[in-house]
Amino acid sequence: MILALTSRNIKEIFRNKMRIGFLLGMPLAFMLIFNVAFGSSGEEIMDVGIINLDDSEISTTFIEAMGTISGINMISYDNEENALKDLKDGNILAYMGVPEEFGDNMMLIWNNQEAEINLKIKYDETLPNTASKFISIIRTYTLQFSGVSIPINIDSDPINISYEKNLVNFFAPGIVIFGLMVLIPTAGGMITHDKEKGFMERILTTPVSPTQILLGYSLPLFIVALIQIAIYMGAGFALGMRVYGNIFLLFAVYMLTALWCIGIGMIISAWAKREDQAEPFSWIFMIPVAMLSGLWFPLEGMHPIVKTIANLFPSTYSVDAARALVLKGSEFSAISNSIYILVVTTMILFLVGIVLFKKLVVK
Amino acid sequence: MTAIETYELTKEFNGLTAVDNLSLKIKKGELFSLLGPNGAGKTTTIRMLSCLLNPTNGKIKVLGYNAIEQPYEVKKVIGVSPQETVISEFLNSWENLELIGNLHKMDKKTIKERSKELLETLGLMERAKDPVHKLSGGMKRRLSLIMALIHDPAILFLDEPTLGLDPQSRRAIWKYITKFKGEKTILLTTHYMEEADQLSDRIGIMDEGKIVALDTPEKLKEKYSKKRSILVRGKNIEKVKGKYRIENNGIIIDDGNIKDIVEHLSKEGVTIKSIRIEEPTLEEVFIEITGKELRE
Repeated sequence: MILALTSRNIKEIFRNKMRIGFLLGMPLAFMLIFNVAFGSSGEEIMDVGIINLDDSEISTTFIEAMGTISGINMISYDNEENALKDLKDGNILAYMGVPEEFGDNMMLIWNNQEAEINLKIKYDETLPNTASKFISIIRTYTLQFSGVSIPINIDSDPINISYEKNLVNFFAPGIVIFGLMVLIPTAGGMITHDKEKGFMERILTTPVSPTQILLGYSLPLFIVALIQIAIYMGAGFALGMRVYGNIFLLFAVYMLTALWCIGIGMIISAWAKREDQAEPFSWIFMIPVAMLSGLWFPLEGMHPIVKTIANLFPSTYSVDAARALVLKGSEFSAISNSIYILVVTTMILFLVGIVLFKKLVVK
Repeated sequence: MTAIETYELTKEFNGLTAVDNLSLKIKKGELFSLLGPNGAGKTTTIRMLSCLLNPTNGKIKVLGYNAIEQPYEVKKVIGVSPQETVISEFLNSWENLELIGNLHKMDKKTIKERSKELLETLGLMERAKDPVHKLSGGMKRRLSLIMALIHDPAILFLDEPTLGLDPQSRRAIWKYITKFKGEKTILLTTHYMEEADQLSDRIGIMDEGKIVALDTPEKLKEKYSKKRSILVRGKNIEKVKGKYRIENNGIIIDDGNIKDIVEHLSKEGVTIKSIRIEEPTLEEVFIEITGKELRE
């Protein structure tokens, strides 16, 4: 029965040219506008510093071979002090220290013995995409160099130097999350439309439970959301966006975002009597939420009250997690709190949505 | 056997009583009409019977199931055609029927067979594959009606099934409803006198939330309306002025033997052109009972 409703709602969405055009065209337009507005950083060459503290044959080879990687320009330093000075002056974007006993430890690893290698990377945290690009390159390169998956630890140590933030990579997660928030008026509007036109009552005269009905509305919107996310990602990559973290984890964060948005739309639809109430109400809710949850501007430096309010919105956790994945290449453990909060929020929203629907719609 | 039974059924909305202590028994296979003006409480009654609205007070039994406690059991045996045309705009007629069929857990084959039969009977087959937003108002209305029938329910609630339809479509629907009279239990609401008169086994006249009269159409007319009268039209009517009641160039005779009337009038020099027997109408019954006219 859920499938019957799902199939009906998919047809209603995809055959309504206005609706589907909006739902799928908007993500593309959104990405394009932002690309024009902020410009793609493109394939610039990064100046990075390297300090060889080891002086073994292996470390020398490691560094020499690294010099051949396109996109980075290596500058050698004798000690960290000089490298740090150049980093602060903006001459280099990051530097990496190859530790003592790098060669010995690498030999141990190649001989299947236990050893640990710590590569220390210091970068300008205000240029997060550059830094994460560098870290990503180093990860890939060390893996290629060692030939096996070895436990190489990268101690990244960001320092705050400048305040240049106009980067597509920084904005991409916010765009996608705001874009997905369009599901709030869509879900709210669709359900309210059917309520207003009597279709909901027609469904309710058949032996279907409220939960089945709401899932029958959520599922098609979730499918639309999957397409939207794919478009956002595709457009993002086409425009030069890079994801330094796990892309599947990023997809999961976006999917959770879609789900809590559908949940909020569901709750709005329980109250709204007419479609022309549900949609504007959704937008009135969305805009301040987008502003206050750091979708457009980072919350750092904002008034503490704003930060406290931001913590009440699921969008804050979505954008934090997504940004951490896109910019910093964070692991799951680093964003697990945000993800748990999103999962719990989504479940609560759906439960409240179903309870309200039972109370206000089924009567 | 009783199919639908209500006991002291009451619904209040913010202090206003829409349905007031309604106790009703509808027999299996009966076509029962609720006739009344807008706001009489007909739709509210149907919505409570079809488990869309919880009553403020009272009990409802549908085929033995308690509608308040066992709504899902009730929903399995009823078909509801709402007052408004309620269809899924971007689906075609087949898909609309299929949706309701699936929600009633019918198998694919049965849905298809039933749909075909219904679409053909109500003249929708030709455009069954068009998205329904392209159909005419009358076609949409007919589709909305058959969506209540796809699962072959034992009980049918038809809320103003011919509201706003042209006379031709209206007659087509009446004809169709007549087809399964006796087979299904039908509760129909209408404010069309002719509809109630033609279709119903029994009529409950509803006003301000209460059933104010309940009987077969014939008995209602017998009980509440004037006797039949005879209207004679022709030439030289003025010759009988004073002897008969004359209204709008016609002679009105309250009752009598037609043959006697003809003979008598001819003698008086009236040339008779037409004689019509005016039967009592439900309209008269309605006005008599409620003191209101029922506007269409």
